[in-house]
Amino acid sequence: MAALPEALAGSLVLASLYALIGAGFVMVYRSSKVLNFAQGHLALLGAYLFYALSVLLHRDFLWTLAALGVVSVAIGAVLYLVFLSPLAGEGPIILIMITIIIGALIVAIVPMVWGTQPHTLASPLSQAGIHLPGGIVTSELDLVTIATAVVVIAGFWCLIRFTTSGIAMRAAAENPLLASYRGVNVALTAGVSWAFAVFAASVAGTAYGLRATLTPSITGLGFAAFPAVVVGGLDSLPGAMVGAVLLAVGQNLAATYLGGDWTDVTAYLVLLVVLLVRPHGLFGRKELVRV
Amino acid sequence: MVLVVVALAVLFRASSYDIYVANLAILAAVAALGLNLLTGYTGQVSVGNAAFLAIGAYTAVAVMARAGFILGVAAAALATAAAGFVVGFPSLRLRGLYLVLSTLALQFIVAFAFEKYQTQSGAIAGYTLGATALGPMHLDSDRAWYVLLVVVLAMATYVAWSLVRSKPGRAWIAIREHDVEAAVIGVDVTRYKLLAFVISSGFVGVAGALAAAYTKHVSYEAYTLDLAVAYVAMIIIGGLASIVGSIIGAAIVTVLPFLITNAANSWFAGAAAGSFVQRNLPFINASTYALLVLVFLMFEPRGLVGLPARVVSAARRARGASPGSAAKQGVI
Amino acid sequence: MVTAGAGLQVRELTVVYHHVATGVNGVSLTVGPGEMAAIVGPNGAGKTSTLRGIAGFLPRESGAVKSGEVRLDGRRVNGLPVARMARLGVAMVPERDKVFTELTVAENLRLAGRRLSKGEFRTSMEQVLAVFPLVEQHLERLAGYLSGGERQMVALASALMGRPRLLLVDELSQGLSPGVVASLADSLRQINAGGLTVLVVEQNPALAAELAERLYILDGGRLVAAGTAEELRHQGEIARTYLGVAIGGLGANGGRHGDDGRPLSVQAEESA
Repeated sequence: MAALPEALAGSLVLASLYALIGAGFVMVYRSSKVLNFAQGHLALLGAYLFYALSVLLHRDFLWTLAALGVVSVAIGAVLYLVFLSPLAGEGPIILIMITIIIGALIVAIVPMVWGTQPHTLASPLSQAGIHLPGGIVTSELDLVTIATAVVVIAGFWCLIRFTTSGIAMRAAAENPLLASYRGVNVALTAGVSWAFAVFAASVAGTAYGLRATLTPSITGLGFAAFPAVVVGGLDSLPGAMVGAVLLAVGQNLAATYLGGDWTDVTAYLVLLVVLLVRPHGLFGRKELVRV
Repeated sequence: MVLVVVALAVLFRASSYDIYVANLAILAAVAALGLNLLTGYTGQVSVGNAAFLAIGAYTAVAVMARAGFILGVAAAALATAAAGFVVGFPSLRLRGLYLVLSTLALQFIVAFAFEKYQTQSGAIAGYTLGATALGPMHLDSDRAWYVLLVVVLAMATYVAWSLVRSKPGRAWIAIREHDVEAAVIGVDVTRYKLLAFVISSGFVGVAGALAAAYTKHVSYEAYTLDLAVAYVAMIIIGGLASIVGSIIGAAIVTVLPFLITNAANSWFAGAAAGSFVQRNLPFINASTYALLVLVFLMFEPRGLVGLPARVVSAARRARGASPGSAAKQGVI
Repeated sequence: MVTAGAGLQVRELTVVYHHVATGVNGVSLTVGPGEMAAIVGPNGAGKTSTLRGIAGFLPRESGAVKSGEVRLDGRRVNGLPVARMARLGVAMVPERDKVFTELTVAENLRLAGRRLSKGEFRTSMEQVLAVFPLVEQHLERLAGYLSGGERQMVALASALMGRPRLLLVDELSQGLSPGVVASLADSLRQINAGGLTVLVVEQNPALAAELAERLYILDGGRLVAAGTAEELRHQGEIARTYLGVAIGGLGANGGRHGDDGRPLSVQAEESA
């Protein structure tokens, strides 16, 4: 059974991508109780933005990353302020639809701007195999991807947990009116969390794009990340990480034993079971029913 | 009355292509009615509509060849209603966003199951249905189908209308407004939630079966999440918890892509082959469609059915408000 | 507390819901700097609507100020966003959902005082905990686990953390035990004595009369009467209808008064 540690190691990269996208879900859900169906599409957009910025900045990797951060934060804030903030207070179905339509727009616009042909992202990170003890093979790119996911999510977590801005975000999510009475600009806090969500999605999209060629059809990543977040608990960042790992491992096992076409459906079978058995996930807070 | 006149006018004046589009809109309207009973009236948000359409269509494929058209549609309704019953169970425990997620799971699982079934039974390109006969009548033209579908829509509308005006409708609205309180005032929440799922998916199953027989082709690729989302868009654009709204919304969402394509084709007719426009026509269409839906959602989140009332009240407000406060404003 | 209280003038305030239903209609009231006033009246009288009209509505709420004006120290402030009103020094303690249940008590207080400098924050905290010593024991608990009375204390403490100039309290005593109410009333008096302007909605007319210099009686969305408890007592009909027998001669506690003629509840608080 040497396959298990190997499967686990291989799963960690996928888990990092899920966790980054999932962290965006969680940030948005916590701040505005919106299920952001566009998260995977935003990852796609982020990867293409990395490509465009990389060309613009003469393939300087670090400057491109920095610029990508700025641009995606701006996109997140604008998306929220233009499309979602005017509809705050509408039912969840309207808000979900808005995010779905934003996703549809991205999918339609990306190939218009960048074409349908595959692109390759310039990267200084080597994909050459690094052999670790225990027969595990990894690469520079894999290690950086995993480390980035951990750092980004830990950063989000600390921000929410310890800073006053984080407290304001949690307060605005729980009770927007009371938060306003306490002087919190609720639209602004939600906009900030959208900015973070798009940032995390961009990082995930780039990390994905760096190890494969970039085509407009990678939005499936977002839908596969959904179950990961639910397994962990929709409102929990550590949950998103644990859920991402569990899901990635589960998918790898399913691919090994059932066949490659079972990966996506495995995710959703897991989702369904979790919803029926423990709807608030492993780490989520049970929502109180107020009579 | 008006509707009958419109329906007849379409029958005699419209081209075959227009009737084809109208038929698609009517099929969509039947399913949208079902979805609106569940989402609009009972408040259970579902993105499982494409899955139910698929179940209806596959049942029709299996039954129609052996038992005929009518029994095929009936079997589809029953099978889909049964599926709705099963899917309804999680809704007894899950509320709001979690139900969205469970129906999302349904979508992926059903799509996968039918894909597997199709590839393993060797029908990779899907299934083809033969010509449909309704007793002695042969439904061999778009116009014949149009007549049948108008009748079906009328029946579906009548059923939905009677339901929402009677005890189930009141129970559904009570559940939507607050299911905990609904239970307190004596509404059997379990029973009526499941009933909403059963009836709603039954409607959708009928639409799926009819669509299969009409288009004569069924394959899993058609039943995408995008399709399910389009149905949600229909009932929002038309108006949640509105019978007429379901039909209007279905018509708009169905016709819109055709209009956009036509407009794009005529506007860009002169565009050079291989130019930007030529290459990106599908994406231009898709983004225009998404933008229009977005505009509807942002500016009419309560749906088109509420529009006349809002126009009137806005006009009244602009003119100087209600009689009582006019005097008060005079004082200031 | 340290900051001087602001004067509040409300003129002909009309609040509507869904553009049509009237919450309050043409209500005027004045609370001078450092004063404490109370609004009393039956359910649905428009008490909450009046406070909301002052504190503001969120953009997507069904309610809105339709006409009239609200002035804070003479400056016209109605129509401003809720958060902006808060930054101008208007602190509101709503009737329900008055604390962030998913935050700890300390986080509730930190949020409310997050615009203060470090030094100011520390002073504010000390002052607030001096008024509500019980709060200090619960600092690390989630506010959702607190009792009704404890929540009210945390809500008042949070409102004070931001150093407001006007405190609005919707239903001080509702659903709370007499002992807790006495202690809260005491705290509120202490807060007001520090110079903060207070406008409190209170269903118990006896308590309202004890607390406030001026009473405003609302019914059916309109102002029915206003004045000191003494003045209102002489309007027999109004006193009987709206203030029960509390001011009209009989006390709230079954009509028993203490030796000095004040209702017993007041003396109970003082001895507590």
